[in-house]
Amino acid sequence: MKCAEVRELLGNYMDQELTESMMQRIEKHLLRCPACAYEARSIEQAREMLRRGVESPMVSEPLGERILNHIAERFPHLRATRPTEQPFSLPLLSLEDEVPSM
Amino acid sequence: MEHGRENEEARLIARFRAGDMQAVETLFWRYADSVLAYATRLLGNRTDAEEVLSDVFLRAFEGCMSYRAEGTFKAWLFRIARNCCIDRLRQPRLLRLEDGVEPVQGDDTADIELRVAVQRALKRLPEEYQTVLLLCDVEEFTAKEVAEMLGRSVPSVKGMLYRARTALRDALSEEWGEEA
Repeated sequence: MKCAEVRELLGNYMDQELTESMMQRIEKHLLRCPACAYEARSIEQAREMLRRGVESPMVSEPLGERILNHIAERFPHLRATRPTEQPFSLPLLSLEDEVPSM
Repeated sequence: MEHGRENEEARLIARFRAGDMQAVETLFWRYADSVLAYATRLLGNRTDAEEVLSDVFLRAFEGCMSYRAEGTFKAWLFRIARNCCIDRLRQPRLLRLEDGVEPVQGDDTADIELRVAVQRALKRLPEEYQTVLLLCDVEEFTAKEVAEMLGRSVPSVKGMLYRARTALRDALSEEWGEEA
């Protein structure tokens, strides 16, 4: 295979989207051609750096709850099933609990 | 594609239409982190991305009330997320925060340097290159799914992906060169 043909198929080769025989032909070329081998390795390395280097923030629970409340407000048919927010969830004590019986 | 998941999500959407908030919560928490991450990467800062996140889910559920395109809910969400990010990027620069890399607990210097280099390199690429790289190489959508999202043919997406990977390699190489 010529270098131009290999470069044309390198993306498919990296994503393993070629037939087995074509994969082997390209592998063979890469073993013999340092320029194409460098091209393949350097692109794969950049792809790996992208995967490791991109930011992966997570949605905090308060943010998620705010958005879900917003959605519930926007769609009135959902309101009935969304529990109202309760900032303090301490159990209520009855008067009898506070005053020990004599 | 995973027909099992598609069917399950179709049922969740039907439950949402019927007024089941639990179905909304399931769909939201399933994809909220990955949509926020995608928006943060495209916009370059988390504050803008958090604002976009709310719009994305509102638009998605509005769409679900009337019409939803074929494909997975995730692909539908990411298509909306991309549109919301593009709208946001078109706003005057003064209204947006400066880009920055937020430290993550446990990061060492090499991690931070890598994230800074990747963010800078990505920002140097055309928006379409950033999109195909993030969707195909990070989120692992297939070329077919991305083609549907972008309204392009599969060969066109594959060609663009290869050019984008090459451009990223060159941009990263320059970033490391500038760091040295």
